[in-house]
Amino acid sequence: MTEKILTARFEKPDSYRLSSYVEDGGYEALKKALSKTPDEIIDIVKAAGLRGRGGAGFPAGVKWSFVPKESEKPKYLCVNGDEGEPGTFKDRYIMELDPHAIIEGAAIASYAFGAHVAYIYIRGEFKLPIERVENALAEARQAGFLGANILDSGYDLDIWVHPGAGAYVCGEETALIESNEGHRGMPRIKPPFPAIVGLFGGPTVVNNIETLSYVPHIINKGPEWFAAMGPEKNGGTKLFGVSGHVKRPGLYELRMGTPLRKIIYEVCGGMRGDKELKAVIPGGSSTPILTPGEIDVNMDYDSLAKIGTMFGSGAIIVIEEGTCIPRLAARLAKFYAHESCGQCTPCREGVPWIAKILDRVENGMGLPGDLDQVLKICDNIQGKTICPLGDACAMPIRAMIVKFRAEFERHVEEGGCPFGPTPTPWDSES
Amino acid sequence: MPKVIIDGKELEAKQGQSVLQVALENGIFIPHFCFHPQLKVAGNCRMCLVEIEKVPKLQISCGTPIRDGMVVHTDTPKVKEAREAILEFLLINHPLDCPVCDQSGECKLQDYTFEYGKKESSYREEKKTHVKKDLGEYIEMELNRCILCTRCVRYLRDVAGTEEFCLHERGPHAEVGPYLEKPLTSPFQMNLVELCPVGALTSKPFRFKARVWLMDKVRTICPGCSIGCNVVAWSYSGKLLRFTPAENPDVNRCWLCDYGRLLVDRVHSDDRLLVSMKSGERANRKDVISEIATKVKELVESKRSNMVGIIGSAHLTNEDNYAIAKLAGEVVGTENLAYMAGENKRPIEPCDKPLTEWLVSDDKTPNTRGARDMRVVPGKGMDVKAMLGAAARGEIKALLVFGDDLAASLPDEFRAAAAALDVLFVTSTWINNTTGLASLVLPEASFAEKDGTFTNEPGRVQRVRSAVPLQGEAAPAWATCKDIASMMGHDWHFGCEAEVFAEIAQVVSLYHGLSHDKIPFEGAKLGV
Repeated sequence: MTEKILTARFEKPDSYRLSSYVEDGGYEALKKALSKTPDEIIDIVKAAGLRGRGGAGFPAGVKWSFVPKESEKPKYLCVNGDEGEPGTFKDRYIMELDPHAIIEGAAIASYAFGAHVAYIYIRGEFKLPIERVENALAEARQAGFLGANILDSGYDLDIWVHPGAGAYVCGEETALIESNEGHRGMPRIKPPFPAIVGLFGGPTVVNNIETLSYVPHIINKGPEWFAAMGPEKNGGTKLFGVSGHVKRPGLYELRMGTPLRKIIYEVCGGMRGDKELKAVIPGGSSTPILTPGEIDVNMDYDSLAKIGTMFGSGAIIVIEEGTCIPRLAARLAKFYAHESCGQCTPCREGVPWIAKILDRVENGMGLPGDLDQVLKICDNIQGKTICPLGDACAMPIRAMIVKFRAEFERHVEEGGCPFGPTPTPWDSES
Repeated sequence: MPKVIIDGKELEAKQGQSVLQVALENGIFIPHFCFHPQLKVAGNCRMCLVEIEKVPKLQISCGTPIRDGMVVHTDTPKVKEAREAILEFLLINHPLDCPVCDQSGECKLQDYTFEYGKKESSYREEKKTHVKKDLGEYIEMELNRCILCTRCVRYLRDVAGTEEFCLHERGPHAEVGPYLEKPLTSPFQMNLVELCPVGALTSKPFRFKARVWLMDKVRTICPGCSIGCNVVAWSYSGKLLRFTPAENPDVNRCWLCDYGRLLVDRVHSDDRLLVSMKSGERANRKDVISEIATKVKELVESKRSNMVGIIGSAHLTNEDNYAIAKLAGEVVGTENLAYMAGENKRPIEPCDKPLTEWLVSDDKTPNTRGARDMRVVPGKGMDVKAMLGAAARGEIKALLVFGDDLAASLPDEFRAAAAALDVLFVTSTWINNTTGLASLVLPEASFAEKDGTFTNEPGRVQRVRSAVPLQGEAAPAWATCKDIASMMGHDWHFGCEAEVFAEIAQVVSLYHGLSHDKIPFEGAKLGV
């Protein structure tokens, strides 16, 4: 059940070095790709059904095909290694343990839509990943896998690292582009979309680290192999970062469509101390929460969408009985209020408002009507903002209140938290 | 041409226009804060959300380009609810201090809340507040009222060309302000006052002087330079209190420089000359007129017309200068007629470069071109400097100076002339060295008290309208000329500025066919 594609090399000594990567057949896919036409590459990736692993799940090949063939301005690839979604810890492992896979994938993608410069935007706090990727880029340049006339193909490409400066919103593609340009990280209004006007005004593709890391494998083994590994339109494997109250939290590479129950009770060995499961956040903090009755769901984009939540980044947060959901909600809202860029009205004003109310509720100062007020604010934010950050707060908070309403109401009625000072997975400070 | 349907009306649109632009052009109002026709689209206020058929979410009309066949609704329950929500969001941290806010009466937040908002807020939490910042002499900043539309940031960066503001902090702590806590330096900073849709940026010189809804407004021309920016002159109880820019795409778009704005203070300043004077003593206007007329008549009757010098002014209207030229030509018969012409070497046509590139003229007079058109120019006679020289040598005995402070521009020459002249007659709006040296002085009406026209440097005739009543004994130069002429036995038929202009339109060929009523708001461009 655990397929090893991206994680296959993780346990090798020196897995991050070029010598080790080449020994395992690294950069063969790039050679192969350079012998094909760019359109052929796009078709292969489309046929593989590779969907964006950053959270939105947009088909990568289709994204590349949106870039105009002819452009007066240079085209760019931005590789999104911001990995800021609470609960998510997958890209950092690839950057630390197999950076050449990212570089090879990025090179193939750049070739496919005609970019000659790519940037790997890495979360600023990721010291080791930045170092590993920088070193890998230097090795690749030296070996002729990057630079002018790569492998005598006539194709030129260079890739640079751009470290972020600590904003969650820079994981949003247009904010990432702004930040990559050296500006304050704020999402842009669309249209124009990045594929038309992106980095420095040129057509730009933004792909997640994990997404691009699959590309060399798809080139090597063919799109059918990849597509066959998951349900229809959800090809391949996925890195799941499981955290919370399970026996064996960690990073697991599993086929798309693996049932959530199986992940919790088999892959991760079940609940810590064999306690009862209370809730699961299936794909990172912005995805709506699931109750124990909802965990018989296959972990893929379409199955999760069907039950009103999202696949997200594959960050599964498992929550045991005895955890205070209002406290979780309050902490989550505080995070989003802190990370709102402050640009557009509903997110800037609405998200901190939610945070203030939930903080009161959790601390025993809730008033009748507070919960409906929060739901109303969620409605007033969702779908009305420049970027998805507002939705990323409104959706999970709404789900928590709707699914655990009695618990919130108890806080209001009893004037305090019935759980006492239980730490939630979010309370790193306690 | 693409067609769109907005609220059931089929409208023609141009490719590339936004839904909001098309709606506004066709008289369909969609409320908006951050959108401004002269600024780059920011799309941050979310006030202009509209429903577009076949699009699941509401879209910002300012940032959504039209497509052929697009069907837009601006007034559905969904849209109304969204507007209510946005206004509630904007108000939760707003101090609601309208009673003491100088923006009151011209505040978009106030107006939209009245029109589209909920009557009560659900907000029960503490409001956030901001630390006050000092922006210098002209702009008062009250960040607690700010709605973060970033018009100020975009204006200073993209229009004024001095990128002095940015967004600081983020999320609920976000605020606009200078990069460093330094006063603003842009000579166009006061445009921020009108740009700011709320009371976050108000005018230090104007604030608290009057409630805007009690004020009188009139559209006129800034007298500050040869560009001729269109302005609205705002007065209260007969006092001119502020200029705001009036839109004219061919002249100043919707901008005004701070220098021009601050001229407002000159109308009611302590150095205004409000009475007639004779040899330094207060005198009767009639006596002053009679004395100068008698002196001039004496020279004319003794065939010494050319011993009379007459000086018009680029600060005065076309009507004034026409009458001055008429006095010199028809009544006195002197060839010694001139004025101090301003000079400008910069391009002043509107363009997309920073304002410092086109909204500045070196010529700080409003009517150099008009005075020339009215032929206040040396024919065979002498220019101003030569005339002052002739006066100093005793070749000119009587000098009439209308509305110009020659002692400031030619101090030595003027002093020498004044000492030698038999009679120095001056009209002036302000007490200055020129009036100090004159034997006969009449108060000239200020720019705010006059009707008439200015012709700007590129040759656009624009209407000057009186914003406040004539102060003290002040009179416009054309009326003074008419009185002098009358004393000398010439009865001029015109009795108001419009009638003077009617004569100009007959006599000056470039102005044929024009009349005060026919000059549109955006002015009448003359043929070359």
